[in-house]
Amino acid sequence: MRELMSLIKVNLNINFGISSMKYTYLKQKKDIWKLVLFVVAILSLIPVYLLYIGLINGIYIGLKMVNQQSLLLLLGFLVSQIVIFLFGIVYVMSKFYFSDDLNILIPLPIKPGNIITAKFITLVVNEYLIMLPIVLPIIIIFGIRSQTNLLYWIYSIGILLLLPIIPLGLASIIVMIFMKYTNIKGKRDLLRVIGMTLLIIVILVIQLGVQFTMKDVPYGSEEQYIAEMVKENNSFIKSFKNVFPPSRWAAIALANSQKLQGFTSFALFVISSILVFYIMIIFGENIFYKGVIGGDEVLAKRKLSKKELKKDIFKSRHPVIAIFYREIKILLRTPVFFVNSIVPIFIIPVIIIFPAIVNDGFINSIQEFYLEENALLFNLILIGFFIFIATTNSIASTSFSREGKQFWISRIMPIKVEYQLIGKMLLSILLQLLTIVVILVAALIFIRLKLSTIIIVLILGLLGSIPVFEIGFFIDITRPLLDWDNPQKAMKQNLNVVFSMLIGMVYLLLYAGLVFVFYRASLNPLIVYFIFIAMFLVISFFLFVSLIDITFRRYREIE
Amino acid sequence: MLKLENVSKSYNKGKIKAVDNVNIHVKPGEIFGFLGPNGAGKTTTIKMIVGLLKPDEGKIYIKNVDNQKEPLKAKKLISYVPDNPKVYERLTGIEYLNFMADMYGISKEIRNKRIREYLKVFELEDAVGDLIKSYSHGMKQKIVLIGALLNDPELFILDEPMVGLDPKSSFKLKEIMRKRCEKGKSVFFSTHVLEVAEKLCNRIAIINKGKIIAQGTMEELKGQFMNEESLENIFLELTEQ
Repeated sequence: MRELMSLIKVNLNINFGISSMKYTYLKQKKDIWKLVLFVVAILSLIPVYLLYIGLINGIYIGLKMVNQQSLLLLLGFLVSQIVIFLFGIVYVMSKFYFSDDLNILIPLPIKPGNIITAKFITLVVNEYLIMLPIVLPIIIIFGIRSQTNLLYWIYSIGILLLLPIIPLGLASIIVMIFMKYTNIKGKRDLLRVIGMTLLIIVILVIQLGVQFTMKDVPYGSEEQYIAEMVKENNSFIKSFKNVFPPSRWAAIALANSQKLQGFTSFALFVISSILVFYIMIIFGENIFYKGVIGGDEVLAKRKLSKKELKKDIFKSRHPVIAIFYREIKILLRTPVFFVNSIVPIFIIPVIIIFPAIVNDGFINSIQEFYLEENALLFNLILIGFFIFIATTNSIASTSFSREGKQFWISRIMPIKVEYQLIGKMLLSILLQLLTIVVILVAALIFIRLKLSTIIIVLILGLLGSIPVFEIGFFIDITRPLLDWDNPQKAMKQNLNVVFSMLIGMVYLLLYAGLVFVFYRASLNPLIVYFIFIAMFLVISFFLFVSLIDITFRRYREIE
Repeated sequence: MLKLENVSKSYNKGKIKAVDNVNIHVKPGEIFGFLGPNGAGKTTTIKMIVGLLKPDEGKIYIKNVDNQKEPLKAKKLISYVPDNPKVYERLTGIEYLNFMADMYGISKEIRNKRIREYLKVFELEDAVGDLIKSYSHGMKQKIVLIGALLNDPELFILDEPMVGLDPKSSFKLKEIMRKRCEKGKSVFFSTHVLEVAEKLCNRIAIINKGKIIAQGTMEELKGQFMNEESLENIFLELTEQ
């Protein structure tokens, strides 16, 4: 037991970076502003959260009208368990299969079951952070409004603590089986890409689905609408209630806490949770643990023949090109980088097209607006949209962070920094070009764009994005995040992305202001385009010159 | 070839002095060993020489080129093998070598010759087509070594080069070091392995707590410490204090 507790403690410590936070904030006393920023970010979410609580309250009242308020609990548990399951799949993969601590733990005299339990409990704690904000308001609102007894609150605590176990346990079992039968010859990178892409798609579909169902809800009388919907779709609810028994048991336990039925449901929920946990441990010991020590992950070797070797020794390339190739190879071959840079390019058009399919009016209104006299404004707005996409792209704002512990190589190379910057910039420009092309192609399905629009938007969309990328470079070289073991940290947990997005937005606002001014002045469209081209070029040039200067200095200073 | 003049570096806003007023002079054709206990300031000194750290005080010259004033010119003259080979895991061995050759501007003919030669020496021909991710620690070190040898540097700087290499590779590396010196080029390396330093180095410097506490040829050091027979005893006596 002591062994297990100590394992859990260490796991939680590493997972949430408690020791390293203590070290940076208390001992080194640096980067405290990060902590402040984090608190501010949390505080800024409060208004949105209040909205959510209001929504829950509304749903409760609506359901109460038709005496179906327990449905709220069911919905809450179901949604959080689905969310836990989805996140669980990703968490389990990274915690069990892509973490390096097993090399240290396995040689230690620890029971395999304890290693697995410790990892699992760490994930459970992780899931609390996602789940509690969703269910806590539901339980509290239900509890207060229906004036329940003490048992309700006791059951609630038990249910909240156990809620992640079943979905997370199922996710673990599925991942373990999946990894056992698919993990052949180092294909796990590919799996990771597929898995993450799937996850993004699922989240997107849920989002769009919610949007789609919500669009008919009349504003201001949501309660009546919900009551109506429940009344009309009684059969729908009945089938819904049988979806996932554990969620139902939890809901029944709370809704009937003073009755015997409540107790039996609660007992069922607890017993099934424990059962799933034990099954997970059995799977873990037999499939996961044995797989790891069985050395399933041997990489395929490919021997180069003399001839191939000769072919592979390339002609000497210009440093700019060599750097560009390095950047693009690493981007494509690192799943986290790939998913965060290439995948969104193809998802953005989907986001645009989906509402267009759902809502014909959207397309029609664009078509009606896209007339000869509005062409200038239309093009400028489209260019602004491309600049906006450039600001949301994290490639430029992580260009140095992505190098991580290999950054020393860039710093000792006898290459001008401008070459390195241009090589990196080419990557951002290439991806932006790809984005613009994909969006234009998607748009062509619905709107007959003129050739002039395509050419103008392509040129100005690219040129206008360069300053945005330069801003990203600027921020990233000023405070690169280099000390990471998981590439996730370099891209998804990198504040530089947020900073450069914010500054990029300011730039976008300036652009919008100019568009407004030029439009009001009713200048000749050609002149407007030329002014913008000249401006983009001048800004890019001056930013680049100062970027060279700061990069040169930072290459010497960074420790 | 390499000259450090009164070089100092401190961490934590001056609280910890990692390198304190260090003077070193490495001549052409010399293998120079840099010894010291863990945390003595060896890696910090090396990082300042190769331009990864900026000295707080003092000057570093490589073939009379100030590495702070003309970093590119200085970097062209050297190459560096760090103690922990962190290389691009997602490139294959050959892609990495080609990349380094491009960075040093090496022509196709020369790179062809040198890549083949060193791949053979370090027995890496079979693995060169694989991602570096799949390499063992020693293999990663070898690929960094090859990458660093491609530009035939005037000054070859290595941080703990023998750690992690198998005996055969370690022997080959020592041979390469010697051959370079015969051609008038210099090698500067840090090590824990005193026997290697004793046998290989023309001159030695011992650093402790950031300060150079002894410098000279093996004979000079032995002369200074009359009653000590081996470098090990000298080292132990000096770093005791």
